[in-house]
Amino acid sequence: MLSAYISMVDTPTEKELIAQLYNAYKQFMYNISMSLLGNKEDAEDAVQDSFVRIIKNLDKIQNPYSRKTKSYITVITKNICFDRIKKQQNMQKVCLDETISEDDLAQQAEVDITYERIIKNMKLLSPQLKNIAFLYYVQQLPTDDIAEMLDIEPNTVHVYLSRIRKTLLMQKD
Amino acid sequence: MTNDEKIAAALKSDYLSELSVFEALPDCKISHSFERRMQKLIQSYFKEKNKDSIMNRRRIKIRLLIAAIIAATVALGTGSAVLLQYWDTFKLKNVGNNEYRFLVDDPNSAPLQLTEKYMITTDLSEYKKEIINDSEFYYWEVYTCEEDKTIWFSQFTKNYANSTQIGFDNVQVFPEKTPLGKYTAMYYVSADGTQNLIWDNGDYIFELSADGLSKEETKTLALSVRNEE
Repeated sequence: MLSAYISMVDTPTEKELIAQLYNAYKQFMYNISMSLLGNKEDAEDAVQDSFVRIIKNLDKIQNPYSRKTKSYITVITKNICFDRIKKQQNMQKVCLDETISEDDLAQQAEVDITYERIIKNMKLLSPQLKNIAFLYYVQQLPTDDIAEMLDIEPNTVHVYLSRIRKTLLMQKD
Repeated sequence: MTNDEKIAAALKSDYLSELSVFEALPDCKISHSFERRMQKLIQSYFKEKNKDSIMNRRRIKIRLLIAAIIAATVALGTGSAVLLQYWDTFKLKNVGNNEYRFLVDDPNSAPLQLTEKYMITTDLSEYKKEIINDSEFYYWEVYTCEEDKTIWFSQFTKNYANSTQIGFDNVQVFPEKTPLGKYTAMYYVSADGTQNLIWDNGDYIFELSADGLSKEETKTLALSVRNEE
């Protein structure tokens, strides 16, 4: 009986995975988008764009219900929302906060820094840079994967990571 | 603790506190029009993917055709079974040892989920109903009655049913075509005498199996399957 054979198959196909992801996270993604963008039309577009990005990065998702998957979805949705905000504000797609000057980041010898200092410096990072940092340091994704996930050039990820690190390890206010 | 570990810990803590805020947000209502837009998007993604692979498939098809002609010639020459058996929109492919693969034509063009549920509309009030599986892709229910009659009814998305392997060891009637209303169903009788019908209504694959019923009774039940309004 076909039913009996099918009930034994537990490996989800690509399409099932997409359907599972959509059903599990559509409300969560929509809530994030509404909270960041504040209107229905932009939130819907952001969820759609985020979902297209997730589909393109499906190979990075094994278990649709894992914490890791949720973190990817959160990061992608936030990133898409912040990109939209930036576009609306006619700002360049430059992520680093302009208040940090090159002088501040100039060749500083890396010293042992306190956790509290990192927390303080983290406030200097734009949301997009924080996303890159999270994927690299916490999820330990390779830079090529981060580039694919956030739709930026791999070289740009390297540049951003270098600036993120320097910013987070800054000693002075 | 190295600087990198401190950075990771700080970022993780920041992410978790932000996540708790996002998780605590009240649910905003998602409009039906947006839901439909997303369903279309998902389906069109697979159609595009299929389109991309059409060229490759054509080349593969030509090779398969040549292989099929050789295999059929050998089969006819040796008197063994032909490798493929076709219905209108699906086929069975012999994969050896009396095992067959159930292959659906263009499974990605149909709904990805059971957005419409179908049911047997014949009065089965003397039967006890039990739902065995009720997922987004596959529904399976069984009806039993005291007269030792059992009816199994299933509805699948085409994608879900596609590529399932079925064994036809010792079947009383090997899968054959049988008309079922405007469709052509696959009919076979299992080794234990269970009547089986599998058909495609264009959107979903259905299966109806009956123990203790005749072929005609099973077909009448199958013909009563309607969209659950």
